[in-house]
Amino acid sequence: MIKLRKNKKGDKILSIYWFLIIFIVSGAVIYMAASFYGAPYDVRMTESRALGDQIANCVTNGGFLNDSVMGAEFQKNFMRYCHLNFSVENSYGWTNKSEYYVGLGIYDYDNGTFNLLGKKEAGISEGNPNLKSTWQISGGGNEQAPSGFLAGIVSSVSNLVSGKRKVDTIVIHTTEGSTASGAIETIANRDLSVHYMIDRNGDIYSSSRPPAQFASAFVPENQPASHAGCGIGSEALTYCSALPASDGCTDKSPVNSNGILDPKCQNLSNPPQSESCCIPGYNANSIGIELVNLGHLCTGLSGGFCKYSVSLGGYKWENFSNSPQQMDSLVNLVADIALRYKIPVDRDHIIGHYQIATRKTDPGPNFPWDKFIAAVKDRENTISVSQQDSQNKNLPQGQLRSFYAIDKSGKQYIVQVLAIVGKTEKNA
Amino acid sequence: MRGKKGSTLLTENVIFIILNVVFIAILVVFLVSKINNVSVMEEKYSKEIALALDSALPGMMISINMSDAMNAARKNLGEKNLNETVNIQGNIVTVKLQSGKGYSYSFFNNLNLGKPVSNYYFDKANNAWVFFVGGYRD
Repeated sequence: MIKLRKNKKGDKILSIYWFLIIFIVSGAVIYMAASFYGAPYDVRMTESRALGDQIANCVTNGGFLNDSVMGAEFQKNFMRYCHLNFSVENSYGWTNKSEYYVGLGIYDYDNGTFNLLGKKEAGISEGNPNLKSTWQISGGGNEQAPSGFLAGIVSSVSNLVSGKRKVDTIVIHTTEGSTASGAIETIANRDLSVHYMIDRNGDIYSSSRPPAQFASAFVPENQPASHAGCGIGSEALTYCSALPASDGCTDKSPVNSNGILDPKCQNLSNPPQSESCCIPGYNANSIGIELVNLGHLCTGLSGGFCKYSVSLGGYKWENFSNSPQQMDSLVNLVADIALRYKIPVDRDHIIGHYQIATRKTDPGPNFPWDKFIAAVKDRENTISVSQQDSQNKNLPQGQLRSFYAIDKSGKQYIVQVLAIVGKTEKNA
Repeated sequence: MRGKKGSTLLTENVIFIILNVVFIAILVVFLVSKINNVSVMEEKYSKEIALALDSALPGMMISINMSDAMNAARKNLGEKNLNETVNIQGNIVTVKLQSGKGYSYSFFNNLNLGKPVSNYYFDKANNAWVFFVGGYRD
């Protein structure tokens, strides 16, 4: 009898524990379900991007600043020009304050002076300014476009004009000549082309900033240029059709100018006969950048061309450290391209011409690859900050973007758009 | 005496099992109701429609498949009222799938979609709402 009583007591205690456990588990499940399904369907970030798009498309068209933008009429009737309507909440009686904020700044590219968005003297702002004061960009409210951003976003113009093709490689060339104009003329006369050429002073030539003559030397980013050495499309296939795809190399003498057998050619049992050793497809999927650089250092010029007086093996090379502006522009440009096309910043994707054509040596042994790659990574981080979205989900969501635009006269501008959406829940 | 004890034990166990089943059933019902909550669908579709209109340009035709929402509306409001499930007034989209006020969300694009000329309708065959963007209001 005593035993039975003890067992019954134990059962009761076990039952209490059982219900306690069920209660705790159920509570946890209910809490998780309630917090997951009870959370608002947050579209503010997407909405702020759409708002930014609308303003960007209103201010520029294909990378060109719209004529009316700099006029007083546009600034006065900004909302109407850009087809925006923020007064909806007031008319519906939800709240007295708008749940949107936009700021637009247009800055002189050459001046390099950046002002904070929202100041009347610097740009246009509409909507609820309280949203701007509470909005935070990841990394501490960087509303100022970094100065290094300038040169890099030059390439965005051709990108905006043309749309994108698949690009996974950036090829660095040197002109092996003393002047940009001479190199541009040579490229055009040989029916070759590149996407960009950077002069020693940092000036970038491209299809959107073409030189006065021989503009055909440049093509926009959405078109493959003829720079890598094997032609484009069917032309490349003709050169390289004899290759097993895995080998990807053609040369009757697969030894580069330094006398080294290209590793890509080493396994070829029967190297096809063509003019240069190349890997098919590089023109199709790459962006070519020429640096104005002599390459092999010459002892003098003859009609604008370098006179080589030293033989193979004894070359000296022009030093890139003599033209720091050129390297700055290159770093900015490559960082911008890599960011836009999501190209990894490493030596497999940012390569020298010599890596895909054994007859070629550019950009030469003096090119500071390690320093350059590190600088591009660094600059990429800087650029991405100015395009970053807000991260704190408990605060108004928004996006700050900066981009380059030119007007019809060729004058260059930096456009900054800040779009913030503050609303979360609105049950009518 | 032994039979009495046995029946007591059986009763206690049955009650224990029933309580467990009831508890778990309540939990399942709660979860299902949360997952299939019509209010969630109202919120989701009003915001999705607003986003689509924010990105719209004149000349566009936007078709949004709302099968799940419209099936819920059929149950709650009846077949006759399906044309009233989406309403746009000014720059506010309201989706109503059950009795009540529905869920409203605003869009910033100054499109001309509202009455007296309604440029949107329910495409019954495809369970979709179709929006024609004729132009801007100004």
